[in-house]
Amino acid sequence: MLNFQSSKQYTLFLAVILVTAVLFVFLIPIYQGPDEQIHYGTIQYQAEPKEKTWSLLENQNYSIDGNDIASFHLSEETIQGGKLNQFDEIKWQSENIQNFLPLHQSLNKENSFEERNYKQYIDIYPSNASGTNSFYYIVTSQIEKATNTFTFFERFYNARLFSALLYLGTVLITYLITKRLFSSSLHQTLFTLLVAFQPMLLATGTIVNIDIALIFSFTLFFLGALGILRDPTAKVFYAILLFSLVLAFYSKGPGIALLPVALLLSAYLFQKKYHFSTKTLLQITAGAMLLFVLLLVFVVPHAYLASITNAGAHSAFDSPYHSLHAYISKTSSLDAMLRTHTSYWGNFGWLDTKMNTSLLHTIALIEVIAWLGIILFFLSQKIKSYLPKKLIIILSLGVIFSLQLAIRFYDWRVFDTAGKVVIGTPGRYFLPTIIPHMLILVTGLGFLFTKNKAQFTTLLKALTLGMILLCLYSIFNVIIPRYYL
Amino acid sequence: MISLSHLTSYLQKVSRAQKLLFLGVFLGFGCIGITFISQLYFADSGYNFIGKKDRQKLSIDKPLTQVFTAEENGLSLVKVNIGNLNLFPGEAIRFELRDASCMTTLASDSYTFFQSKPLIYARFGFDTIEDSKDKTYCAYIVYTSPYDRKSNDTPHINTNTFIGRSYTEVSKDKVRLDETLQMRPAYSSGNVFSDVWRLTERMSQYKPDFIKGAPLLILMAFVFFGSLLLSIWVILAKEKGSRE
Repeated sequence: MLNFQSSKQYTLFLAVILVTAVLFVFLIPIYQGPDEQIHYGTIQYQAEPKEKTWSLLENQNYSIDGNDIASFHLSEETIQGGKLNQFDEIKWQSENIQNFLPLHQSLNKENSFEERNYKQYIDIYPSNASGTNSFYYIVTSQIEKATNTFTFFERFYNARLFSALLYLGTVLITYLITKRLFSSSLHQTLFTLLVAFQPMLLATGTIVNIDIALIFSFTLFFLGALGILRDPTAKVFYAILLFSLVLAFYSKGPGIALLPVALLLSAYLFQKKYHFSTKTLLQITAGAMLLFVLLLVFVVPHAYLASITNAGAHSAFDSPYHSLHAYISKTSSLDAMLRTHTSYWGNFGWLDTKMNTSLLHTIALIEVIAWLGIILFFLSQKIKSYLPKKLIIILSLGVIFSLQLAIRFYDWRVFDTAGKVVIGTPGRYFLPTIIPHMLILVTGLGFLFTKNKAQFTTLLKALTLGMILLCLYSIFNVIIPRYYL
Repeated sequence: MISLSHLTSYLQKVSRAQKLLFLGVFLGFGCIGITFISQLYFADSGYNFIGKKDRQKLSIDKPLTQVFTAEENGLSLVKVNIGNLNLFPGEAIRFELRDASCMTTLASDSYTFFQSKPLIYARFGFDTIEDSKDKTYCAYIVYTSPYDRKSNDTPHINTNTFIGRSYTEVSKDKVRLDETLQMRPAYSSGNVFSDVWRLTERMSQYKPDFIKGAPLLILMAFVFFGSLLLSIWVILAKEKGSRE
């Protein structure tokens, strides 16, 4: 039998994860990741010099046609790159593919594209560059700037490679998390593999998009929180937690969802240390809430608050009650939940590359069983030492709940203004909580179906193997046939 | 070198759970590999369906035909974008490849209840036609069913406006001018290795030079076989000191 702790095996795991991530980088055609053209356009915009040395066309008509990339106010190169890749024909239209040319002809076309020296800056304003302050843009725009003599294809894929780096960082942090979750090194690695091969995590983590920055931040936060819960004296985890909060804030809007979790965590730690009476606890909670509000009012930029709450926008409904009622009835149907589930597990590209429906239903069934298992896990007095502790599952639920609330709140605010669902809740928005989610799944299933550590190992192995197969199926049977055959 | 007897005695030491996992993994990899190879046909890519979209209902025993010209040699299948493909047992969508006059059947294939639902296109395959390039064929598609199903419940073919193309509702003798069934003829060289290389070339288009061709192929091969190796390791792995 194999000794699991051999370094050669770790090398194999790392190599397979690394190569799979790199393959994903080059798997999906340019801009076929959701909103990739906007994200890449934003990177180019942020790479521009502050002093604009070119003439600007300001106050131009701002009507964006989602089916025509030329209507976007992005750099000429971004738009022409989209046209070359037949972006408008392929996006949302799974029956369409690129015009594949013989190798020499496609090389000629690429060369002539490069020779045209399309403008790498935006000259039509207002621009469609994203207004989000994300560290992702800061880093990738620096890379873009440093490589501005490279070809368009090289620079675009550089940004994707940076995403892949964040994905790999997420996997590495996942491994560090598992060291605080499971005593068994085998369980640690199996859980890491389980997360690493989730196909939508790979697909989302290897396109040009700020989503992976948020996933990375949430994962780091979970490491910090877990470390503090296990050892409240370990200062390094407080530093990690604080750093992850800042990083999440500068990743994407929903990053703010970590703030209430951090506050609740602090409250728990205080209570654990000082054993306050109920009265004192209530006073502290009230004080903390006041502090939270003050922080929001005086520290958090008002423009940011307005952007995440859509405050001041005109409502399309008679009252907030009607608006909320209409939103809930529109988004809480089984169909809507299945759509989110589908795009969480396997609907690639512009949500036009879906894996087999029966497979997705099977995953949904496993999830439902796991959630039932979690309910029993909490109700039962039985302790299974090889499973994570209840406190960790509570933390996981807290993070999941908070992100769900933040995303649905923002979706509702936009719905309130537009009178219809505009943003929606695609599954990738919930990938930042993939680790708590997977933890709940394995714990729920482990509680229901295993009696000892060996059985739990087998369960983890089965789940991990299933995930590896799901990933390969996605690559070879779903994504490649959709875009290239 | 590991002899067969070594392998047999080694496998005897493997637990029942591990044997089951092995079975699952080999079945899984087998299915993925076979499905991949079976999908390795290169569809026409010189056009897209960008006109106004519509759908053509398939009525029982009322065929549709569309004439098309093969762009390459090695015509092996025709992909058709069929919606609402919820066939009952005993029902089928029969595809016939006919000559240019739509009279003589050259090959046929059927899609039945027992086949898994296609992700995008339903594929109708036949023996490869080596010298198909520039030859004109007719796609003849008919839905057969022993049931009396409501018309909004039956399958349909997605269509598009498309200047210069047309299809025919044979039973009504109605020609739909400047409209096309969403279908793509697809080709194969008959050699898996050259088809895999052709796929690599397609995937290399509009990618940086350093990844084009062999590096991309190596990546794909490494992911597939590396994952297989990883899976075997996962199955056999045990904790230090464990008696599993």
